[in-house]
Amino acid sequence: MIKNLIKSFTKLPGVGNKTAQRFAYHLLERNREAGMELAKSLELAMTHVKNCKDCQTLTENDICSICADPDRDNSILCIVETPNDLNLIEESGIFKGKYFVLGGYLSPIDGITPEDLGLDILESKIKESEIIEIILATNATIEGEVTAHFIKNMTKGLNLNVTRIAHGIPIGGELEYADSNTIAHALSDRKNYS
Amino acid sequence: MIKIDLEPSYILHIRPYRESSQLIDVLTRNHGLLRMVSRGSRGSKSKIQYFQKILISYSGKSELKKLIKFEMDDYPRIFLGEKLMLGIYLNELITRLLLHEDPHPEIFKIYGECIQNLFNADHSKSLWILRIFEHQLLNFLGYGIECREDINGTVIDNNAQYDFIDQEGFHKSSKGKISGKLIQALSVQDIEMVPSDVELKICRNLNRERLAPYIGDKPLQSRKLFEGLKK
Ligand SMILES: [Zn+2]
Repeated sequence: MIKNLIKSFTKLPGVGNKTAQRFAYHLLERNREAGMELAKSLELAMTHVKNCKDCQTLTENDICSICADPDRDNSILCIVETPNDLNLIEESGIFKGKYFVLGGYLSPIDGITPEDLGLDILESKIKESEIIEIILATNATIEGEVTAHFIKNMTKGLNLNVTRIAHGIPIGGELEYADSNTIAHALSDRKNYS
Repeated sequence: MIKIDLEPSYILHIRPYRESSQLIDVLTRNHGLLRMVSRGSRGSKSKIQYFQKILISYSGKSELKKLIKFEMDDYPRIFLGEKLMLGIYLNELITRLLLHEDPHPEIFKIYGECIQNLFNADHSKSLWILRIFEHQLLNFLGYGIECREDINGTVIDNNAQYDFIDQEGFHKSSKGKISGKLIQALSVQDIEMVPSDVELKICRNLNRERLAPYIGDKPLQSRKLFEGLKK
């Protein structure tokens, strides 16, 4: 039983065997109540959380709170790789439109196809709705760029403004500490200074 | 334990591996295609980049090497949009055609030239650069075909038309789709002479036919994705 618990903890990202042991013994020896609570929350979340029918993010309802919010702007759609990316953008507080969560990225060599990401769903969504701008907020990785390019290509022939989030020097960062790729990206994405 | 220091290399593919590591396919200059594990590198600040020459230090006797460290030895080339798709195709092609740990310094060299040329090229030229690379790759892997003479031993005529016969070569035919001029351009790897769109298509089909036996049953995934794009 204890061994099983330790093994389960190692399934979490960044948790090795040692940390897993610490977690298990901490709960067993000192905090059974928290352990029971954790078990309950896990059980509930694992059973009831699903993908939003509209944007594919994780939610306990059929439609997530953002999609259901009448105050959000239906004309701008921000496309992200993961529910966590959606949360990060939400925390910035700057975006008032809606989202579409891919649940990953395209990687042809690894056999991850457009259908795996629900890009067919996205395509009909774009065609049928009142969207006028799409923001491609996939990662600045090779796969994120391939995904962005593929979605951009999907919108060909539609009267849509397609934008890509800028990549560059971190705020508060100094050039000295940026790698040459980041600097190259920041330079090619430069904009007029006002 | 075998350890190699600062080997000139290009990254062909990176995939996540276990919790925080990465599996990396690398084209090295002197040791061919290798697969390495890079421990704990996911989310790390110094990112290993594609389309840029790096010096890589690694160790290991088994097929899976262990990446020790790397440093850049080149300026960055940011491939976006269509060019990125072509670059990914190029990388997949190499991972599919080369055997692991089979040294091909000449392929390392033409890969470097190819990505540099691609970086500077416009659309038509990019496609032509890829076709020339495929031709060179086949030659260096020992799958080359005679491009100076046809199958009867007659010198390829710039003004004649030819058919391609698998495993044999070019056959002169008035109905042939491939012009002698195109065969010559491919043969001398003339990247300055950019063929017409029609010729580029003919050349693509020719190379595809030549590559098919070595690619095997599993289609190239990047090609499939590329073909799914609207023109
Ligand atoms: Zn939603």
